[in-house]
Amino acid sequence: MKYKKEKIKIPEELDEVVNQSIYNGLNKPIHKVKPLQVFGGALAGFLIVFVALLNTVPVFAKTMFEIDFIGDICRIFTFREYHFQDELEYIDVWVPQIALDKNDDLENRVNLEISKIINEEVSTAKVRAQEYYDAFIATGGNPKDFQTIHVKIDYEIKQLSSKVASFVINKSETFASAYNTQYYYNIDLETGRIFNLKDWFGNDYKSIIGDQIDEQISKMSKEEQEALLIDGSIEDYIDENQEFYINDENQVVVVFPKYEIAVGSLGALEFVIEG
Amino acid sequence: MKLDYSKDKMIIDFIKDHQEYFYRIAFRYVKNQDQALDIVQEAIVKALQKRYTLRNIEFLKTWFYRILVNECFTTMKKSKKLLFLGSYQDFENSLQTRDQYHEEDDLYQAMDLLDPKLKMIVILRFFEDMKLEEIAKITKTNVSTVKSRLYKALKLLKVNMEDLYEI
Repeated sequence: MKYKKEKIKIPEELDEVVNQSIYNGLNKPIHKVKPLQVFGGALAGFLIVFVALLNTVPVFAKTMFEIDFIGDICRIFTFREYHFQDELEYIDVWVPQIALDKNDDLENRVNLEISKIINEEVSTAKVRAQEYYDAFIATGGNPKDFQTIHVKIDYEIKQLSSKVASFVINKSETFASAYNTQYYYNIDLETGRIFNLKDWFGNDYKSIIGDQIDEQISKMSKEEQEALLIDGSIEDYIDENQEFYINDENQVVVVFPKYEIAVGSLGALEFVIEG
Repeated sequence: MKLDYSKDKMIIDFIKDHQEYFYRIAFRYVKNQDQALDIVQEAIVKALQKRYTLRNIEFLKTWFYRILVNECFTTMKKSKKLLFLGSYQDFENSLQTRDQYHEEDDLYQAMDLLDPKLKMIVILRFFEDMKLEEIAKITKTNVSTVKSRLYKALKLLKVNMEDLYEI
């Protein structure tokens, strides 16, 4: 009989281990290498698992108590906090999760989506840092001069009452502000649904919001008005996916990300809509 | 030391293109994912730190594989005193499934009992399809030594060479 070669599964970490090693090999002088520091050595394999468990459990327990809550209807809390650093980037992440009293479906859906978004953001940021580093080296840059990229993901609660839970997840990268992103969540705690603008302003939400924004723009300074890049009517920029949050005075605040309707110097634009 | 970016780039490209081969060799050798990843990591770091010792880029492949193979040997020596839970589990399982006799599995288990040097030659020759000359360069021996070790290994494994591949 002929023997077949058994298949060996390539672990997902391989790519990261290799990239990390290339970086370490290029940058660390021979005598200062601590090869076990990042990925855990064979020798220390099991110890590291135990140590990691012991370390994360109290941290986990501690963050669990930093909870913003309103009665038992809804809680928004830091589910996980982690920090990662290597020569290319340092990453600080606070992952929020929600706990709803009577709606497990919605709770799971929102939490799953948050985790997914954050994982994707972190991994694309890592890829981007690596690409940026590679380009930097390929164009003759000295690895020592490379500026570590800072990636930060956190969240902010805009309103948490017995009726509304509104919060935003912010992601920023020092590499380029164009990569800053916000994700808004507005939950109607009375019906257990995600709010949309129609719920607040009815079917005419586009014209109602558009008119109010136009009015606010007319009160802006001349320089600010000139920095706007609105092509046609502002109503055309508003649709069901329009980003907004609900502030603690229970007003809808419509948000246009940086560059969307104005030059970068104006940053993101927010308009409070009375309704 | 003058920095040579084009040489660095060739080494890095070679590593990126062959990272899965490195891992497979290491894994076949140590049979443990964490250890195999460590070996790959160590070999890359060492190779890049000592890249000035590579005078002729034509020998890149042999040079790198030699570092990798040495790293496998070093790890094996260090870990001889350790019993891994994973491998203990495998051992127990193998006792339970002894009835389900399987020749291929037996070959792989027998390979683990070989002398480390013999085992590496078997891996390079039959799993990575390397030529005897290449193996000789990587293991810093000559072709006849490689050949005799190979025969010895196969004899120990009680495998008929024709059953594997032609040499």
